Amino acid sequence: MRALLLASVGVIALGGTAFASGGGHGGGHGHGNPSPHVPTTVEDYYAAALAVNLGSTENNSSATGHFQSNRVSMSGSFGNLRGVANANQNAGANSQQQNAVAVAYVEGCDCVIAPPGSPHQGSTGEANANAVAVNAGGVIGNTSSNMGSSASASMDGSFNSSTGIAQANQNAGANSLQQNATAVAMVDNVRGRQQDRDAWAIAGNAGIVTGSGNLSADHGHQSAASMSNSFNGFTGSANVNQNVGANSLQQNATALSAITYCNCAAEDLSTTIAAAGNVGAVWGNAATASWGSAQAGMSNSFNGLTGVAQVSQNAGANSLMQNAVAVGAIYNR
Amino acid sequence: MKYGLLALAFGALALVRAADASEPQGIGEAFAGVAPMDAAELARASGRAGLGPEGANVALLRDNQVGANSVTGNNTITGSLNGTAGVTTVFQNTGNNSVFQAATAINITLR
Repeated sequence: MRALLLASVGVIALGGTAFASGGGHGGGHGHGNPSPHVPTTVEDYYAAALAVNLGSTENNSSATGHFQSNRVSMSGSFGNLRGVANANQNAGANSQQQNAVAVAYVEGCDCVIAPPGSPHQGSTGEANANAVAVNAGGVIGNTSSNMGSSASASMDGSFNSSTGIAQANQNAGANSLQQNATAVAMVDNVRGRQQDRDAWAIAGNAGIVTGSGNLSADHGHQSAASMSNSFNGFTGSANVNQNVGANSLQQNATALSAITYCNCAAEDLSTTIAAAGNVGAVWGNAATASWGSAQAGMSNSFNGLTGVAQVSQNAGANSLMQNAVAVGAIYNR
Repeated sequence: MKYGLLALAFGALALVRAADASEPQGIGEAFAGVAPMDAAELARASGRAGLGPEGANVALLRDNQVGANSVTGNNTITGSLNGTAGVTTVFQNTGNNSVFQAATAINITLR
């Protein structure tokens, strides 16, 4: 009799870099009644990754005057990237940008195991991959004034044909907080007559823009966030924030967990948990923007993308934007 | 005293046996007409468990102020997000005092 239990749980979609790879110690350790041709194997892997950012920006002040220009721009960058990239650009004031990525991955061995019906019954495979990525930040009691100035955040021709995890924050505003978090957990190629594996990934952001209240006073201020010709042909997970506003909070969180199983075990238990979430608060702030302009634009971007993309562009004030994705998958390899 | 306890125990045992005898049929009789599954059939059986997909963002936006005649602007998306596969979320904001939230949770099991 073969029992197969597949449990996939997508719990919560709630907004440093760390990697862990399970090396394990499988591959032919003798236990019980080994055979020179079909050894009894014991695989036991555990991979854990934790990435956390904690920050606070409090009681700061900033002022720009006539014809002053604050700009951040990225062009022709991160093309054909493979792997993980965190990019932050800031030309504003009183702002905070955070990224967190945690990846836990277990790759089992290609060792020979006792097949079903074999008298060698002891082969087991057990693997756990756990990844947690968390950001927590606060922007409290800051002031910003912009008179006759301009601020822009732009991205052009970047991250095209890239594969992996990309998190990018661009900020030219004030009193703002931007956070990203990605956690990936995967277990692959675990073997044995008895197989037990779990992969869980948790990504979360918690942010607050409040306290004694942030103040933004703009007059004749031109602000713009733009993205063009970027992230085309991207494969993987992308979290992107652009902000030129004030008193704002933007958060992304992505958690992916995956397990492959072989449908060849006598007893097989697989469990995935993916949880992603954001908790945010913006209150007690004040903003004025007279005789100016605010724009957010995207052109020719994210075409042919495969995977997860979360994008926030903000040029306003007193705003909160949150994204969250959690994916749990179990599939036959 | 000792004999009294012994008599009480035998009395209780007699009551239990009487209760068993009063049952209409045993478990074996209830499934008498059902053929047991063989190992091959059981091998195809799968148990699945888990919570339903949930997504959650928690936000608070309160008591913020925007001055009179404050400008907002244009949100534009052109020639973007074509031919994508997967999960995509895009927020654009030039206004004030706004909340955007999106949460997606996906469970996939392929056999």
